[in-house]
Amino acid sequence: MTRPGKSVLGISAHFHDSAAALVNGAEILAAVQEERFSRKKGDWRFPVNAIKYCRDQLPGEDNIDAIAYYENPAEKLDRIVCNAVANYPRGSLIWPQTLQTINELNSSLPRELLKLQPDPSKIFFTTHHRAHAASAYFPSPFDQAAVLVVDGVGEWNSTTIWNGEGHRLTPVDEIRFPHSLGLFYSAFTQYCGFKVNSGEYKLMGLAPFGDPVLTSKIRNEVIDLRPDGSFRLNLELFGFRTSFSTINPLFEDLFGRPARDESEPLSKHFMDVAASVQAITNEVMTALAATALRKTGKKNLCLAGGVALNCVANSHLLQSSKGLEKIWIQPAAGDAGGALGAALDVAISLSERDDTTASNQRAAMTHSYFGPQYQITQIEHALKRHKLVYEKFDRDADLIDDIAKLLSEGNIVGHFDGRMEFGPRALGNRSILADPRPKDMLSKVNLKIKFREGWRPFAPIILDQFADKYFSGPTQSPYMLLVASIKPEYRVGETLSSLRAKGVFEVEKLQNGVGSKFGATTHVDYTSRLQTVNKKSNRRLAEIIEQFANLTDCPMLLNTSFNVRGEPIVCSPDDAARCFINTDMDVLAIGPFLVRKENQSAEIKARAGKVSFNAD
Amino acid sequence: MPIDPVELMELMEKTVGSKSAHSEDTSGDVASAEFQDSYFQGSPAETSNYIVDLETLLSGNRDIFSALADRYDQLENEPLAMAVREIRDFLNDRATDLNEPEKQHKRLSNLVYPVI
Repeated sequence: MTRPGKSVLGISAHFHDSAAALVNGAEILAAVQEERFSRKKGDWRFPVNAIKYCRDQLPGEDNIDAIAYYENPAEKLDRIVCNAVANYPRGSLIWPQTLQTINELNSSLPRELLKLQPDPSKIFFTTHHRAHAASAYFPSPFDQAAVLVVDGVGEWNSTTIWNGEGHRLTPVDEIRFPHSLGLFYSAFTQYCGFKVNSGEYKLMGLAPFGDPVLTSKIRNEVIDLRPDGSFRLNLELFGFRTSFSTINPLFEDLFGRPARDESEPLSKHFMDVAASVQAITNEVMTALAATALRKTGKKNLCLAGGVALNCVANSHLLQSSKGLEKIWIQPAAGDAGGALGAALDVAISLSERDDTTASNQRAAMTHSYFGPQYQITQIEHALKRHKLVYEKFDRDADLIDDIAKLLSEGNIVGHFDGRMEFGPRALGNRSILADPRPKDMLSKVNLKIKFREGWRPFAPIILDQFADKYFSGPTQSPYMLLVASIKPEYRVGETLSSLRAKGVFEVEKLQNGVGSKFGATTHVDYTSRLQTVNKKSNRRLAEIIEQFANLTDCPMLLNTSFNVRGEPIVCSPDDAARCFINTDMDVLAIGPFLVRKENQSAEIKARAGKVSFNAD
Repeated sequence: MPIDPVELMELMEKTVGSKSAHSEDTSGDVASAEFQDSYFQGSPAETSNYIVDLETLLSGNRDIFSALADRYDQLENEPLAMAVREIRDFLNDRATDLNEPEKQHKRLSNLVYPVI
């Protein structure tokens, strides 16, 4: 049976986090990042594998009606040319890349798209921010909403406000390149020794260790803020227009010391920088949200763009914005989500044009599991290929009981089930799960499983009906995009200030010293990047937590993405098996199979911990 | 042959350099130099915010860059139109090889968001 709406394949590519998405009208059928197949983190290349996966999800007799690309290449070329001209003769270092990009957008992109759809009248281009706005508004539960998009840059825009009404999305206001909150945040990411475009969440995580003592300096010298949240950057301090560096030496001079090398210990100075830039980002996002609500006259807000992945700023604006009733944030808020937004925008627009409104009803997104899933036989073949000893469960309930018991005994479990998540967060189907309570769980998972810095806490995943019991603040957070605070009754022992008073300033000692009954998932400021789950959003995961709670009286687990540092989240059973073998993970629960490390051969056991990884 | 640095400098001087005096200046603003209540820049032009198909984007041209040059012509920005056409011709020269593997990876350099 053919589907009633227009089937549109959305594509984002050529800059970072390439992805493809397939929709029919407003219904999302598939969405996946290219990196999950290519195993190259943040892969920017044309997403041939993601496209193939999406096309395969369409029933045989159905055709793709149109292709939607997430940007307007002419507008982007305009900005690139204008930037080169305006900055001449500076910028010679980036000219080869400039020409490369021009060539790709001018020649390669149309060729790649025409290969998929030979009729140029069926290939559509939206704009970068419009695609983000569509990804946030169309799948939201709102009939009317203000939409705020904040990122690095698309064509020209870096911040936009939109008015969403029914099927219409109308631009309201914008801030243009080179003034960009995303680039502002990236500048401090680089200065603090983290990788730009992947380490921003580390900067956010570092912020609670510091004091925001540099906010005045940043406000006076780096960013000029207006009360409505609009801003301009002091471009003399930034290098992104003319070099492969976001900051330049003047930026470093301003803060009195050079940018941190990634191997350097994190000193109090960098903690304070992180705290200060996060405080300003919170303030800007909150003011922008207020302006978006005021200019549109709406009470609900949708968010997208890379900055919308900053869950601390999201929570701040949610708690501080007067007149804001509800918020919905696209879980794939970065550029991968542009593929989805472009597809939805074009599908809805085409359906309206062809008057097929009956098939064009907007559908609220209730989960983000739009990626590949694998048959039981495929999983079993992968386990055999990797020479793993496994048990197969005929009854799901028995498997869930065993997983919960293993977790309650302190085992670390790789959990692989159903369709993979779309977006940067693992929300249970490609997750590593553990008991959040033991004191040593944080360092065990950080250092032996993920091979990442020991100071970074993990996210808790909790049954939604218990969230209010343990946390205060925004306690409904199905996509791990908000932070909440653990209630005082679950805090124990030392605090950040008491540790500092004793002269403790090393991040790992501070993180491990601040006391909570859920130490592996509580940050030094007692916040947690919460994920709430129920049986409707993820039945198996909810049942595992429920059973774990029956055994332990703790309705929450530690949840971190199923991968090692620098690697994309696992996609296939082979990826999962490799990750299980190469780390100290105790158990792999994959489909109906359970694989215990203790049952494996000596040869496989010896491979644990021998993995090499790229710093992220 | 991979692009030669001297050749590249000559190209940029010929195309971009000679036009820089005619361009919109997007650089060098010092924060606070120009006090305003708001730095929002208004609702964008409709043409740049709605969906277009490839046929419309090309507007009868063979490639997007040529269509962009036409747009600059319409805006009476002849220097930019000329720069774009010269870069297009350079890129269309089959002797120009931009596909050196190390250059392709610059986009994810870890120090800057892929602005270009």
